[in-house]
Amino acid sequence: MAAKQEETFEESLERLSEIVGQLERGEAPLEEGLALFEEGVKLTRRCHEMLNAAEARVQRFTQEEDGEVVLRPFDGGDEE
Amino acid sequence: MRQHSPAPDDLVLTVSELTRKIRAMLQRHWAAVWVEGELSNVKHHASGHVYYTLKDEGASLFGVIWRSDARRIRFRPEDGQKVRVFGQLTVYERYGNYQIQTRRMEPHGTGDLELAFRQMYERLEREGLFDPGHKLELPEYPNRLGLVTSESGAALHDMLTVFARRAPHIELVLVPVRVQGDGAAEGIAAALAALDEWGACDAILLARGGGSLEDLWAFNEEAVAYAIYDCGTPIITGVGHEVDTTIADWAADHRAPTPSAAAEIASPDREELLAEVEGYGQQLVDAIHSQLDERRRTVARHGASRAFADPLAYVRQRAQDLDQLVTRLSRTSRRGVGESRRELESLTGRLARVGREAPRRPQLRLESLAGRLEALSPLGILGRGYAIARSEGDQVVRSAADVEAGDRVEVLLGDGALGCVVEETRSSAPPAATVESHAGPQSQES
Repeated sequence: MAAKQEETFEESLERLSEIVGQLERGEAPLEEGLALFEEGVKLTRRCHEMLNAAEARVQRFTQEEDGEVVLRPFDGGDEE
Repeated sequence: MRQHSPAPDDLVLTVSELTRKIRAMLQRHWAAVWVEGELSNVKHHASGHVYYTLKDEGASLFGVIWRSDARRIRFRPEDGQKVRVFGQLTVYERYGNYQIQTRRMEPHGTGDLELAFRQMYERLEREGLFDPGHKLELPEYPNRLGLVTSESGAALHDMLTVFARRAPHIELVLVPVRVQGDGAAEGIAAALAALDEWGACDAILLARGGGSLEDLWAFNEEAVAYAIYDCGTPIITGVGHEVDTTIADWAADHRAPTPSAAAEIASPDREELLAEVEGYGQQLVDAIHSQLDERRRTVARHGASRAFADPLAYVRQRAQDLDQLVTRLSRTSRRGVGESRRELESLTGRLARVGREAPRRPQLRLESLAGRLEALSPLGILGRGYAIARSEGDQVVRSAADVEAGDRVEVLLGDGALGCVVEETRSSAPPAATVESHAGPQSQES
C-alpha cells in the first residue's frame, strides 16, 4: 500500500490524484477511506521529498568500446 | 601546289605530345584564376567528382571538381546558379578540351552557407524530416534529462543554472560533444543515438551557445537532422541566440530559442509542482474532514455516553484545527513556498500547543504539510489509547448489538491488534469489545 521506492514523481502524483478522487466521492468504507488517506499522506510527503532534493545531480555519460554505458558524477561546468 | 620535301621526322609531334605541351602552357599561365558565370550541365558523378559547364552569353568553359575539393563545397552546385569558381586551367587530353580544374566555388550574390542552408532545408523538408506529425510530445514530469552539448560551453552553464533554480529534483545526464569543427555533426548524431538507445532519459536537450553561422554549422548538417528524426526520445533544441534557426531546430520535436529557454521548457517549475502537491494535500484534508463530520453527526445521533465524549471533543477540536489550517493554506498558497513553509511551521507550533499528544512526542518535527496531515489523521488517535474493534467479517463494531457473547473480535491498537472473545454485551455502558469511538458506522448503513 505504501508508495514503492522506485515510483516516479509522475506515478506518485497520479496515484495521489486518484486517491483524492476516491476520498472525495466518499464511496470507500471506513477502513479503506482511512487507509487511502494514510497512503495519500505518504504520497504527499514523498512528492515533497522528491521535489525538495537538495541539488541537481549531473552525471557524465560515456560509452565503452563494447557499448557499455558508464555514468560518472560531473562537477565541472557549473562554477557558481 | 608546290612539292614540299617530307616533314623532318624530328619536328613532327604526335597529338598527345602537342596536347601535353598545350596543357603545360595553360597550366603554367593560368595556374590560379577566378572565373564568373552561370552553371549548366552540372553532373554529380557517383565517384564524388562534379562536372559542369560555366557559361555566359558568348562562351562556355568546361569545369571539373575532384571529389576532395567537391566535399568542401557546402552548397550543392546546380544548373542556373550564378557562381564564381577558382582553379587552374588544364586540358582533358582525350577530347582535347580545355577545362578549369576547380578548387573552390562560391555562389555569386548570396553567401554559400545561406545557399547551403536553403538547399538542405528544401531537401529535408521534401524528405519529411520536419513533418509535424512525426514530432514527439515532451514529458510533463521528467525525472531524467539528457544534455548533448559541449562540456565547457556557456550553454551547459546556462542550462545547469536554470535546472538548479527551477527543477533540482531532475537528474541530468551529460553527453559531452564537440559542437563545431570537423566531425562535430557526426559526434552529435552519435551522442543522440547513444542516449536514445540507452533509453533512460525522458527527453534530450541539444544545445549550443551563440556563434556565427559558420560556428553553428554542425547543427545544419544532414547527419544531425537524421539523428534527430530517428531518435525515439523527445528532443528539445536550444541553439545559438533567438535569431538563429538551424536545420536541427526544424527537425527537433520542440525548438527553444536559447539553451536556457530549452531548459525552462524541459523542466516543470518546482514551485508549481509543490503547489499542485499541496493542493492535493488540501483536498485530502477536506475529504477526510467531511467524512469525519458525517461520523460525528452519526455518533451524536447515537447519543454520547461518557466514553464517547473525549473522542468527540477531540474530533471537534481537530476539525476546527483543520479548518484553520486549510484556510491559512489557501491564503498562503499564492505566496512563495518559503513563506508558506514558515507559515506552516508557526501553525505547527500552535497545533502542538493545542494538541494533547504533543508533549508525548517531543521529537515530532512537522516540516511539511504531509507531516501535519498524518499527525491529524484519525488513526493517530489509536496511539492515544483508543481502539477500533472489528468483527470477524472485518466490519467495524459500532454497536453492542453488533456482536454476541462468544464472538471473536479484533481490537486494533496504535501499534498492533488483539484477538479477543466477547464475554458479555451491554447496550448502555461501553463493553470491552465496543470501545470503538469516533470511527463510527458507515454512512451507507445508517
